[in-house]
Amino acid sequence: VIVTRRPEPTADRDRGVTTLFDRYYDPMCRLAFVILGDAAVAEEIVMEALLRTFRGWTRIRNPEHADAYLRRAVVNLCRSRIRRKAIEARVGVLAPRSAPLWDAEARDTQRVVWEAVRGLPPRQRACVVLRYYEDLPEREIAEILECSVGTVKSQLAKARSRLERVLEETLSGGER
Amino acid sequence: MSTDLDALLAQSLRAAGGAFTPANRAEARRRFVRRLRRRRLVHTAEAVALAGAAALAGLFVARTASVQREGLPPSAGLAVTQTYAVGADPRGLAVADGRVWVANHADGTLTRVDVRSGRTADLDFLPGGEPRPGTVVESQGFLFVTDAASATVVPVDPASGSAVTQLNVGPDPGDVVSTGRPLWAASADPAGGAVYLDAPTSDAEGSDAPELKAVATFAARPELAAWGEIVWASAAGRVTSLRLLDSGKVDRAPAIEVPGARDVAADAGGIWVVTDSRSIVRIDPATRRIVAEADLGLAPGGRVAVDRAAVWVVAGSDGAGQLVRVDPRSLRVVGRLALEGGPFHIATGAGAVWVTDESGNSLYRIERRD
Repeated sequence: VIVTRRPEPTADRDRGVTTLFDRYYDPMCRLAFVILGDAAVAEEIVMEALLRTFRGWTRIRNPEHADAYLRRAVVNLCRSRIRRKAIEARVGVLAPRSAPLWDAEARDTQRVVWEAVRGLPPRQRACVVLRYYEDLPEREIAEILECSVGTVKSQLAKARSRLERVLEETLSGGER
Repeated sequence: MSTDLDALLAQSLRAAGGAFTPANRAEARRRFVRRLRRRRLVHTAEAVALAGAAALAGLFVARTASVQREGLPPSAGLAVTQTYAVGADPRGLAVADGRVWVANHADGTLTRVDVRSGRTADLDFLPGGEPRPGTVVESQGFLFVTDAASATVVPVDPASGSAVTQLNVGPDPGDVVSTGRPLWAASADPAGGAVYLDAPTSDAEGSDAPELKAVATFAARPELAAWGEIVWASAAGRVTSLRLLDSGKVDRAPAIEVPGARDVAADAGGIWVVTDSRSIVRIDPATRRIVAEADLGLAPGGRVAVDRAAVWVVAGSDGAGQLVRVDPRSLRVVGRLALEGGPFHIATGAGAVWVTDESGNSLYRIERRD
Protein backbone atom coordinates (compact mmCIF):
# COMPACT_ATOMS: atom_id res chain seq x y z
CA VAL A 1 0.00 0.00 0.00
CA ILE A 2 1.80 3.07 -1.17
CA VAL A 3 0.30 6.48 -0.69
CA THR A 4 1.85 9.67 -1.90
CA ARG A 5 3.29 11.66 0.98
CA ARG A 6 4.63 15.09 1.45
CA PRO A 7 7.86 15.44 3.37
CA GLU A 8 7.23 17.13 6.67
CA PRO A 9 9.15 17.98 9.83
CA THR A 10 8.46 14.99 12.02
CA ALA A 11 9.73 16.46 15.29
CA ASP A 12 7.23 19.33 15.33
CA ARG A 13 4.45 17.04 14.30
CA ASP A 14 5.28 14.45 16.97
CA ARG A 15 5.46 17.13 19.63
CA GLY A 16 2.14 18.58 18.54
CA VAL A 17 0.38 15.24 18.52
CA THR A 18 1.74 14.13 21.90
CA THR A 19 0.63 17.47 23.32
CA LEU A 20 -2.80 16.71 21.91
CA PHE A 21 -2.68 13.37 23.63
CA ASP A 22 -1.90 14.90 27.01
CA ARG A 23 -4.59 17.52 26.67
CA TYR A 24 -7.42 15.64 24.99
CA TYR A 25 -7.01 11.93 25.61
CA ASP A 26 -9.31 11.84 28.63
CA PRO A 27 -12.12 14.05 27.31
CA MET A 28 -12.08 12.37 23.91
CA CYS A 29 -12.22 8.94 25.59
CA ARG A 30 -15.28 10.12 27.49
CA LEU A 31 -16.88 11.38 24.29
CA ALA A 32 -16.29 8.03 22.56
CA PHE A 33 -17.47 6.17 25.64
CA VAL A 34 -20.72 8.12 25.75
CA ILE A 35 -21.34 7.35 22.08
CA LEU A 36 -20.37 3.68 22.23
CA GLY A 37 -20.73 2.55 25.84
CA ASP A 38 -17.62 0.42 25.55
CA ALA A 39 -14.58 1.61 27.48
CA ALA A 40 -11.94 -0.47 25.72
CA VAL A 41 -13.20 0.39 22.26
CA ALA A 42 -13.50 4.06 23.22
CA GLU A 43 -9.84 4.19 24.23
CA GLU A 44 -8.75 2.36 21.11
CA ILE A 45 -10.72 4.73 18.92
CA VAL A 46 -9.18 7.79 20.52
CA MET A 47 -5.76 6.25 20.03
CA GLU A 48 -6.53 5.75 16.36
CA ALA A 49 -7.93 9.27 16.03
CA LEU A 50 -4.72 10.69 17.49
CA LEU A 51 -2.64 8.62 15.10
CA ARG A 52 -4.75 9.83 12.19
CA THR A 53 -4.14 13.33 13.39
CA PHE A 54 -0.45 12.56 13.11
CA ARG A 55 -0.98 11.51 9.49
CA GLY A 56 -3.01 14.57 8.64
CA TRP A 57 -0.98 17.04 10.63
CA THR A 58 0.19 19.00 7.64
CA ARG A 59 -3.41 19.68 6.66
CA ILE A 60 -4.23 21.31 9.94
CA ARG A 61 -3.76 24.95 9.11
CA ASN A 62 -4.19 26.16 12.63
CA PRO A 63 -2.90 23.79 15.34
CA GLU A 64 -5.03 25.64 17.87
CA HIS A 65 -8.02 24.12 16.16
CA ALA A 66 -6.58 20.62 16.26
CA ASP A 67 -9.11 19.68 18.92
CA ALA A 68 -11.91 20.17 16.41
CA TYR A 69 -10.08 17.97 13.96
CA LEU A 70 -9.57 15.35 16.65
CA ARG A 71 -13.20 15.47 17.74
CA ARG A 72 -14.29 14.95 14.16
CA ALA A 73 -11.99 11.94 13.83
CA VAL A 74 -13.30 10.45 17.08
CA VAL A 75 -16.95 10.90 16.10
CA ASN A 76 -16.41 9.50 12.62
CA LEU A 77 -14.51 6.51 13.96
CA CYS A 78 -17.32 5.90 16.45
CA ARG A 79 -19.87 6.00 13.65
CA SER A 80 -17.76 3.56 11.61
CA ARG A 81 -17.56 1.33 14.64
CA ILE A 82 -21.32 1.37 15.09
CA ARG A 83 -21.83 0.52 11.45
CA ARG A 84 -19.30 -2.27 11.66
CA LYS A 85 -20.97 -3.71 14.72
CA ALA A 86 -24.23 -3.72 12.82
CA ILE A 87 -22.54 -5.57 9.97
CA GLU A 88 -20.97 -8.04 12.37
CA ALA A 89 -24.34 -8.72 13.91
CA ARG A 90 -25.81 -9.40 10.48
CA VAL A 91 -23.12 -11.82 9.46
CA GLY A 92 -23.01 -13.48 12.87
CA VAL A 93 -19.54 -12.32 13.81
CA LEU A 94 -19.77 -10.94 17.28
CA ALA A 95 -16.99 -8.71 18.47
CA PRO A 96 -15.80 -9.29 22.02
CA ARG A 97 -17.61 -6.86 24.29
CA SER A 98 -16.33 -5.18 27.38
CA ALA A 99 -18.46 -5.23 30.48
CA PRO A 100 -20.18 -1.87 30.90
CA LEU A 101 -18.63 0.29 33.57
CA TRP A 102 -21.96 1.52 34.67
CA ASP A 103 -23.09 0.08 37.97
CA ALA A 104 -25.50 -2.67 37.04
CA GLU A 105 -27.60 -1.99 40.10
CA ALA A 106 -28.05 1.68 39.34
CA ARG A 107 -31.10 1.24 37.21
CA ASP A 108 -31.98 4.84 37.36
CA THR A 109 -33.40 7.15 34.80
CA GLN A 110 -30.06 8.44 33.58
CA ARG A 111 -28.87 4.97 32.73
CA VAL A 112 -32.10 4.25 30.89
CA VAL A 113 -31.72 7.44 28.91
CA TRP A 114 -28.13 6.68 28.01
CA GLU A 115 -29.04 3.20 26.86
CA ALA A 116 -31.83 4.63 24.76
CA VAL A 117 -29.37 7.03 23.15
CA ARG A 118 -27.07 4.13 22.35
CA GLY A 119 -29.97 2.46 20.59
CA LEU A 120 -30.19 5.29 18.07
CA PRO A 121 -28.82 4.95 14.51
CA PRO A 122 -25.21 6.15 14.16
CA ARG A 123 -25.85 9.64 12.82
CA GLN A 124 -28.70 10.41 15.21
CA ARG A 125 -26.59 9.13 18.08
CA ALA A 126 -23.66 11.31 17.09
CA CYS A 127 -25.94 14.36 16.79
CA VAL A 128 -27.46 13.78 20.23
CA VAL A 129 -24.11 13.24 21.97
CA LEU A 130 -22.51 16.25 20.31
CA ARG A 131 -25.53 18.40 21.16
CA TYR A 132 -26.22 17.30 24.73
CA TYR A 133 -22.89 15.96 25.94
CA GLU A 134 -20.47 18.22 24.13
CA ASP A 135 -22.99 21.08 24.15
CA LEU A 136 -22.09 22.08 20.61
CA PRO A 137 -24.26 24.35 18.49
CA GLU A 138 -25.91 22.83 15.44
CA ARG A 139 -23.53 24.62 13.10
CA GLU A 140 -20.49 22.92 14.63
CA ILE A 141 -22.23 19.57 14.66
CA ALA A 142 -22.93 20.01 10.97
CA GLU A 143 -19.24 20.72 10.35
CA ILE A 144 -18.15 17.65 12.25
CA LEU A 145 -20.65 15.38 10.54
CA GLU A 146 -20.18 17.12 7.20
CA CYS A 147 -23.81 17.74 6.57
CA SER A 148 -26.10 20.74 6.52
CA VAL A 149 -27.50 22.43 9.60
CA GLY A 150 -30.92 21.39 8.34
CA THR A 151 -29.84 17.76 8.39
CA VAL A 152 -28.61 18.13 11.96
CA LYS A 153 -31.95 19.64 12.95
CA SER A 154 -33.91 16.87 11.30
CA GLN A 155 -31.65 14.19 12.80
CA LEU A 156 -32.07 15.71 16.27
CA ALA A 157 -35.83 15.94 15.79
CA LYS A 158 -36.03 12.30 14.75
CA ALA A 159 -33.81 11.29 17.63
CA ARG A 160 -35.92 13.21 20.15
CA SER A 161 -39.09 11.72 18.79
CA ARG A 162 -37.68 8.24 18.98
CA LEU A 163 -36.25 8.78 22.46
CA GLU A 164 -39.54 10.16 23.74
CA ARG A 165 -41.32 7.08 22.51
CA VAL A 166 -38.75 4.66 23.91
CA LEU A 167 -38.44 6.43 27.24
CA GLU A 168 -42.17 6.67 27.73
CA GLU A 169 -42.48 2.96 27.15
CA THR A 170 -39.50 2.11 29.32
CA LEU A 171 -39.90 4.49 32.21
CA SER A 172 -43.66 4.20 32.50
CA GLY A 173 -43.40 0.41 32.32
CA GLY A 174 -41.27 0.24 35.42
CA GLU A 175 -39.59 -2.91 34.23
CA ARG A 176 -36.94 -2.84 31.55
CA MET B 1 -41.69 16.78 27.17
CA SER B 2 -39.26 18.52 24.83
CA THR B 3 -37.57 20.74 27.43
CA ASP B 4 -37.61 17.97 29.99
CA LEU B 5 -36.10 15.61 27.49
CA ASP B 6 -33.36 18.10 26.60
CA ALA B 7 -32.44 18.45 30.25
CA LEU B 8 -32.66 14.73 30.85
CA LEU B 9 -30.40 14.01 27.89
CA ALA B 10 -27.81 16.52 29.03
CA GLN B 11 -27.82 15.19 32.61
CA SER B 12 -27.73 11.54 31.59
CA LEU B 13 -24.98 11.83 29.01
CA ARG B 14 -22.78 13.96 31.23
CA ALA B 15 -23.26 11.47 34.04
CA ALA B 16 -22.23 8.69 31.68
CA GLY B 17 -19.13 10.56 30.56
CA GLY B 18 -18.28 11.60 34.10
CA ALA B 19 -18.43 8.00 35.29
CA PHE B 20 -15.68 6.99 32.91
CA THR B 21 -11.96 7.31 33.47
CA PRO B 22 -9.50 5.79 31.00
CA ALA B 23 -8.10 2.59 32.50
CA ASN B 24 -4.37 3.21 32.42
CA ARG B 25 -3.47 6.53 30.97
CA ALA B 26 0.28 6.16 31.41
CA GLU B 27 0.32 2.84 29.61
CA ALA B 28 -1.94 4.26 26.91
CA ARG B 29 0.50 7.11 26.40
CA ARG B 30 3.44 4.71 26.08
CA ARG B 31 1.46 2.63 23.60
CA PHE B 32 0.57 5.76 21.66
CA VAL B 33 4.18 6.86 21.39
CA ARG B 34 5.20 3.37 20.23
CA ARG B 35 2.52 3.36 17.54
CA LEU B 36 3.45 6.89 16.55
CA ARG B 37 7.03 5.75 15.97
CA ARG B 38 5.80 2.74 14.03
CA ARG B 39 3.69 4.90 11.74
CA ARG B 40 6.62 7.19 11.21
CA LEU B 41 8.48 4.16 9.91
CA VAL B 42 5.67 3.63 7.43
CA HIS B 43 6.18 7.15 6.18
CA THR B 44 9.84 6.43 5.63
CA ALA B 45 9.14 3.13 3.94
CA GLU B 46 6.52 4.69 1.74
CA ALA B 47 8.82 7.50 0.71
CA VAL B 48 11.46 4.98 -0.25
CA ALA B 49 8.90 2.89 -2.09
CA LEU B 50 7.57 5.89 -3.94
CA ALA B 51 11.02 6.98 -5.03
CA GLY B 52 11.72 3.50 -6.33
CA ALA B 53 8.33 2.77 -7.83
CA ALA B 54 9.73 1.92 -11.23
CA ALA B 55 12.37 -0.29 -9.68
CA LEU B 56 9.74 -2.05 -7.61
CA ALA B 57 7.69 -2.71 -10.70
CA GLY B 58 10.74 -4.24 -12.30
CA LEU B 59 11.38 -6.32 -9.21
CA PHE B 60 7.82 -7.54 -9.25
CA VAL B 61 8.18 -8.80 -12.80
CA ALA B 62 11.54 -10.33 -12.00
CA ARG B 63 10.17 -12.03 -8.90
CA THR B 64 7.25 -13.44 -10.84
CA ALA B 65 9.61 -14.81 -13.44
CA SER B 66 11.78 -16.22 -10.67
CA VAL B 67 8.85 -18.01 -9.09
CA GLN B 68 7.98 -19.45 -12.47
CA ARG B 69 11.48 -20.77 -12.93
CA GLU B 70 11.40 -22.33 -9.48
CA GLY B 71 8.25 -24.29 -10.28
CA LEU B 72 8.59 -28.05 -10.04
CA PRO B 73 8.67 -29.94 -13.34
CA PRO B 74 5.91 -32.54 -13.85
CA SER B 75 6.54 -35.62 -11.78
CA ALA B 76 4.47 -38.09 -9.82
CA GLY B 77 7.13 -38.55 -7.14
CA LEU B 78 6.30 -36.25 -4.26
CA ALA B 79 7.49 -36.44 -0.70
CA VAL B 80 7.35 -34.43 2.49
CA THR B 81 11.01 -33.62 2.91
CA GLN B 82 10.68 -31.53 6.04
CA THR B 83 8.07 -30.82 8.69
CA TYR B 84 8.38 -27.64 10.71
CA ALA B 85 6.64 -26.93 14.00
CA VAL B 86 4.78 -23.63 13.72
CA GLY B 87 2.32 -21.76 15.93
CA ALA B 88 -1.19 -22.78 16.92
CA ASP B 89 -3.77 -23.28 14.18
CA PRO B 90 -1.62 -22.27 11.20
CA ARG B 91 -3.59 -20.81 8.30
CA GLY B 92 -2.29 -18.90 5.30
CA LEU B 93 1.33 -18.81 4.23
CA ALA B 94 3.58 -16.88 1.90
CA VAL B 95 6.95 -17.66 0.35
CA ALA B 96 9.27 -14.74 -0.29
CA ASP B 97 13.00 -14.11 -0.38
CA GLY B 98 14.01 -17.51 0.94
CA ARG B 99 11.55 -17.43 3.79
CA VAL B 100 8.17 -18.95 4.45
CA TRP B 101 5.76 -16.96 6.60
CA VAL B 102 2.87 -18.69 8.34
CA ALA B 103 -0.09 -16.95 9.97
CA ASN B 104 -0.96 -18.71 13.23
CA HIS B 105 -4.60 -17.99 13.95
CA ALA B 106 -4.95 -19.21 17.54
CA ASP B 107 -1.86 -17.70 19.10
CA GLY B 108 -1.79 -14.55 17.00
CA THR B 109 1.77 -14.93 15.76
CA LEU B 110 3.64 -15.21 12.50
CA THR B 111 6.12 -18.04 12.09
CA ARG B 112 9.15 -17.25 9.95
CA VAL B 113 10.93 -20.22 8.43
CA ASP B 114 14.32 -19.73 6.84
CA VAL B 115 14.28 -22.14 3.91
CA ARG B 116 18.04 -22.62 3.73
CA SER B 117 18.85 -23.08 7.42
CA GLY B 118 15.50 -24.50 8.49
CA ARG B 119 15.45 -22.15 11.47
CA THR B 120 12.06 -20.97 12.64
CA ALA B 121 10.93 -18.06 14.77
CA ASP B 122 7.49 -17.18 16.09
CA LEU B 123 6.94 -13.44 15.92
CA ASP B 124 4.51 -11.30 17.85
CA PHE B 125 3.78 -9.09 14.87
CA LEU B 126 1.19 -6.92 16.61
CA PRO B 127 2.52 -6.30 20.12
CA GLY B 128 -0.14 -5.31 22.59
CA GLY B 129 -2.91 -6.67 20.41
CA GLU B 130 -4.61 -10.03 20.30
CA PRO B 131 -4.74 -10.63 16.56
CA ARG B 132 -6.29 -13.61 14.84
CA PRO B 133 -4.26 -13.82 11.64
CA GLY B 134 -5.60 -15.82 8.72
CA THR B 135 -3.92 -14.86 5.47
CA VAL B 136 -0.41 -13.68 4.75
CA VAL B 137 0.90 -12.50 1.40
CA GLU B 138 4.05 -10.71 0.34
CA SER B 139 3.93 -7.66 -1.87
CA GLN B 140 6.11 -4.62 -2.47
CA GLY B 141 8.49 -5.53 0.31
CA PHE B 142 5.78 -5.88 2.94
CA LEU B 143 3.87 -8.81 4.32
CA PHE B 144 0.13 -8.26 4.48
CA VAL B 145 -1.57 -10.22 7.22
CA THR B 146 -5.32 -10.34 7.83
CA ASP B 147 -6.53 -10.01 11.41
CA ALA B 148 -10.04 -11.28 12.10
CA ALA B 149 -10.02 -9.79 15.61
CA SER B 150 -9.75 -6.21 14.40
CA ALA B 151 -11.13 -6.77 10.89
CA THR B 152 -8.00 -5.28 9.39
CA VAL B 153 -5.23 -6.05 6.96
CA VAL B 154 -1.92 -5.50 8.73
CA PRO B 155 1.18 -4.54 6.73
CA VAL B 156 4.21 -6.07 8.42
CA ASP B 157 7.82 -5.12 7.88
CA PRO B 158 9.50 -8.47 7.16
CA ALA B 159 12.82 -7.19 8.48
CA SER B 160 11.47 -6.42 11.94
CA GLY B 161 8.50 -8.79 11.88
CA SER B 162 6.34 -5.99 13.29
CA ALA B 163 3.18 -4.33 12.07
CA VAL B 164 3.54 -0.88 10.59
CA THR B 165 -0.13 0.07 10.51
CA GLN B 166 -3.60 -1.47 10.27
CA LEU B 167 -6.02 -1.09 7.38
CA ASN B 168 -9.74 -1.51 8.01
CA VAL B 169 -11.74 -4.00 5.98
CA GLY B 170 -15.03 -5.76 6.68
CA PRO B 171 -15.41 -8.54 9.23
CA ASP B 172 -13.86 -11.94 8.73
CA PRO B 173 -11.18 -10.91 6.23
CA GLY B 174 -10.09 -13.60 3.78
CA ASP B 175 -7.83 -13.53 0.76
CA VAL B 176 -5.44 -10.71 -0.01
CA VAL B 177 -3.85 -10.45 -3.45
CA SER B 178 -1.71 -7.91 -5.21
CA THR B 179 -1.72 -6.75 -8.81
CA GLY B 180 1.57 -4.93 -8.68
CA ARG B 181 0.93 -1.84 -6.63
CA PRO B 182 -2.81 -2.11 -5.82
CA LEU B 183 -3.74 -4.45 -3.02
CA TRP B 184 -7.07 -6.27 -2.98
CA ALA B 185 -8.66 -7.88 0.06
CA ALA B 186 -11.82 -9.93 0.55
CA SER B 187 -14.02 -9.94 3.62
CA ALA B 188 -17.54 -10.58 4.76
CA ASP B 189 -20.13 -7.87 4.22
CA PRO B 190 -23.88 -7.36 4.80
CA ALA B 191 -24.46 -8.48 1.22
CA GLY B 192 -22.38 -11.58 1.90
CA GLY B 193 -18.91 -10.56 0.88
CA ALA B 194 -16.93 -7.64 -0.43
CA VAL B 195 -13.65 -6.86 -2.10
CA TYR B 196 -11.61 -3.95 -0.82
CA LEU B 197 -8.97 -2.05 -2.74
CA ASP B 198 -6.29 0.22 -1.41
CA ALA B 199 -6.27 3.72 -2.82
CA PRO B 200 -4.90 7.09 -1.82
CA THR B 201 -7.67 8.86 0.00
CA SER B 202 -8.51 12.36 1.01
CA ASP B 203 -11.28 11.68 3.44
CA ALA B 204 -13.36 14.02 5.47
CA GLU B 205 -11.27 13.72 8.58
CA GLY B 206 -8.27 15.17 6.85
CA SER B 207 -6.51 11.88 7.28
CA ASP B 208 -4.29 10.68 4.50
CA ALA B 209 -3.77 7.29 6.10
CA PRO B 210 -3.73 4.33 3.75
CA GLU B 211 -7.21 2.95 3.54
CA LEU B 212 -8.90 -0.01 1.91
CA LYS B 213 -12.24 0.78 0.34
CA ALA B 214 -15.02 -1.60 -0.65
CA VAL B 215 -15.22 -1.70 -4.43
CA ALA B 216 -17.41 -4.74 -5.12
CA THR B 217 -19.90 -6.86 -3.25
CA PHE B 218 -20.67 -10.54 -3.61
CA ALA B 219 -23.23 -13.04 -2.37
CA ALA B 220 -20.54 -14.58 -0.17
CA ARG B 221 -17.01 -13.74 0.85
CA PRO B 222 -15.06 -14.38 -2.35
CA GLU B 223 -11.85 -16.31 -2.82
CA LEU B 224 -9.36 -14.28 -4.82
CA ALA B 225 -6.53 -14.90 -7.24
CA ALA B 226 -4.51 -12.40 -9.24
CA TRP B 227 -2.65 -12.58 -12.50
CA GLY B 228 -1.25 -9.50 -14.17
CA GLU B 229 -3.66 -6.65 -13.61
CA ILE B 230 -6.71 -8.86 -13.20
CA VAL B 231 -8.18 -10.14 -9.95
CA TRP B 232 -10.42 -13.20 -10.18
CA ALA B 233 -13.07 -13.67 -7.53
CA SER B 234 -14.98 -16.87 -6.84
CA ALA B 235 -18.13 -16.70 -4.74
CA ALA B 236 -21.44 -18.54 -4.60
CA GLY B 237 -20.94 -20.50 -7.79
CA ARG B 238 -19.77 -17.58 -9.86
CA VAL B 239 -16.39 -16.42 -10.99
CA THR B 240 -15.79 -12.89 -12.13
CA SER B 241 -12.87 -10.59 -12.76
CA LEU B 242 -12.05 -7.14 -11.43
CA ARG B 243 -9.62 -4.66 -12.88
CA LEU B 244 -8.54 -1.23 -11.69
CA LEU B 245 -8.88 1.23 -14.57
CA ASP B 246 -6.65 4.23 -15.11
CA SER B 247 -9.61 6.38 -14.12
CA GLY B 248 -9.47 4.86 -10.65
CA LYS B 249 -12.72 2.99 -11.18
CA VAL B 250 -13.01 -0.76 -10.92
CA ASP B 251 -14.25 -2.65 -13.95
CA ARG B 252 -16.23 -5.75 -13.03
CA ALA B 253 -16.74 -8.25 -15.83
CA PRO B 254 -19.93 -10.34 -16.17
CA ALA B 255 -19.84 -13.43 -13.97
CA ILE B 256 -19.04 -16.87 -15.30
CA GLU B 257 -21.30 -19.59 -13.91
CA VAL B 258 -19.23 -22.35 -12.28
CA PRO B 259 -21.56 -24.51 -10.18
CA GLY B 260 -20.08 -25.29 -6.77
CA ALA B 261 -17.08 -23.02 -7.36
CA ARG B 262 -14.75 -22.73 -4.41
CA ASP B 263 -11.16 -21.65 -4.51
CA VAL B 264 -9.54 -20.04 -7.54
CA ALA B 265 -5.99 -19.72 -8.82
CA ALA B 266 -4.68 -17.89 -11.87
CA ASP B 267 -1.65 -17.86 -14.10
CA ALA B 268 -0.76 -17.45 -17.74
CA GLY B 269 -2.24 -20.85 -18.54
CA GLY B 270 -5.70 -19.99 -17.37
CA ILE B 271 -7.98 -19.59 -14.40
CA TRP B 272 -8.30 -22.68 -12.23
CA VAL B 273 -11.35 -23.28 -10.08
CA VAL B 274 -11.98 -26.22 -7.79
CA THR B 275 -15.60 -27.16 -7.20
CA ASP B 276 -17.70 -28.94 -4.62
CA SER B 277 -18.31 -31.71 -7.13
CA ARG B 278 -14.70 -32.99 -6.84
CA SER B 279 -13.65 -31.37 -10.06
CA ILE B 280 -11.25 -28.74 -11.25
CA VAL B 281 -12.13 -26.54 -14.19
CA ARG B 282 -10.01 -24.32 -16.37
CA ILE B 283 -11.39 -21.04 -17.65
CA ASP B 284 -9.87 -19.33 -20.65
CA PRO B 285 -9.46 -15.72 -19.50
CA ALA B 286 -9.69 -14.46 -23.08
CA THR B 287 -13.00 -16.10 -24.00
CA ARG B 288 -14.19 -16.34 -20.38
CA ARG B 289 -15.45 -19.85 -21.02
CA ILE B 290 -14.81 -23.12 -19.23
CA VAL B 291 -12.49 -24.97 -21.59
CA ALA B 292 -11.69 -28.07 -19.55
CA GLU B 293 -12.84 -29.97 -16.49
CA ALA B 294 -11.33 -32.94 -14.68
CA ASP B 295 -12.24 -35.17 -11.77
CA LEU B 296 -9.98 -34.79 -8.74
CA GLY B 297 -11.25 -38.01 -7.21
CA LEU B 298 -11.66 -36.29 -3.89
CA ALA B 299 -13.56 -33.24 -2.71
CA PRO B 300 -11.29 -30.20 -2.51
CA GLY B 301 -10.84 -29.76 1.21
CA GLY B 302 -8.47 -26.84 1.00
CA ARG B 303 -6.93 -24.32 -1.30
CA VAL B 304 -5.52 -24.39 -4.80
CA ALA B 305 -2.25 -22.96 -6.09
CA VAL B 306 -0.58 -22.90 -9.44
CA ASP B 307 3.00 -22.63 -10.61
CA ARG B 308 4.67 -23.23 -13.92
CA ALA B 309 4.78 -26.98 -13.48
CA ALA B 310 1.46 -27.89 -11.99
CA VAL B 311 -1.82 -26.99 -10.42
CA TRP B 312 -1.81 -28.04 -6.77
CA VAL B 313 -4.96 -28.80 -4.82
CA VAL B 314 -5.31 -29.68 -1.15
CA ALA B 315 -8.11 -32.24 -1.18
CA GLY B 316 -9.91 -34.46 1.29
CA SER B 317 -10.78 -33.83 4.90
CA ASP B 318 -8.95 -33.87 8.22
CA GLY B 319 -7.12 -37.14 8.68
CA ALA B 320 -7.54 -38.06 5.01
CA GLY B 321 -6.01 -35.08 3.29
CA GLN B 322 -4.03 -35.18 0.09
CA LEU B 323 -1.94 -32.92 -2.01
CA VAL B 324 -3.12 -33.49 -5.57
CA ARG B 325 -0.93 -32.54 -8.47
CA VAL B 326 -2.70 -31.76 -11.73
CA ASP B 327 -1.00 -31.38 -15.08
CA PRO B 328 -2.06 -27.96 -16.36
CA ARG B 329 -2.04 -28.97 -20.02
CA SER B 330 -3.87 -32.29 -19.94
CA LEU B 331 -5.73 -31.53 -16.70
CA ARG B 332 -4.93 -35.06 -15.54
CA VAL B 333 -4.10 -35.91 -11.96
CA VAL B 334 -0.42 -36.89 -12.11
CA GLY B 335 0.43 -37.21 -8.45
CA ARG B 336 -1.06 -37.62 -5.00
CA LEU B 337 0.53 -37.37 -1.61
CA ALA B 338 -1.24 -38.25 1.63
CA LEU B 339 -0.78 -35.61 4.31
CA GLU B 340 -1.36 -36.08 8.02
CA GLY B 341 -3.54 -33.86 10.16
CA GLY B 342 -5.64 -31.12 8.65
CA PRO B 343 -3.90 -29.72 5.57
CA PHE B 344 -5.61 -26.70 4.09
CA HIS B 345 -3.53 -23.74 2.90
CA ILE B 346 -0.89 -24.04 0.21
CA ALA B 347 1.80 -21.93 -1.42
CA THR B 348 4.57 -22.59 -3.89
CA GLY B 349 8.05 -21.13 -4.10
CA ALA B 350 11.69 -21.65 -3.13
CA GLY B 351 11.68 -24.92 -5.08
CA ALA B 352 8.95 -26.58 -3.06
CA VAL B 353 5.27 -26.80 -2.32
CA TRP B 354 4.30 -25.72 1.20
CA VAL B 355 1.18 -26.80 3.05
CA THR B 356 0.04 -25.88 6.55
CA ASP B 357 -1.52 -28.52 8.78
CA GLU B 358 -4.11 -26.74 10.92
CA SER B 359 -4.67 -29.55 13.38
CA GLY B 360 -1.04 -30.61 13.73
CA ASN B 361 0.40 -27.09 13.98
CA SER B 362 2.89 -27.98 11.28
CA LEU B 363 4.22 -26.77 7.98
CA TYR B 364 5.04 -29.38 5.34
CA ARG B 365 7.77 -28.87 2.79
CA ILE B 366 7.02 -31.04 -0.22
CA GLU B 367 9.49 -31.71 -3.00
CA ARG B 368 9.91 -33.89 -6.03
CA ARG B 369 11.44 -37.35 -5.40
CA ASP B 370 12.45 -39.02 -8.63
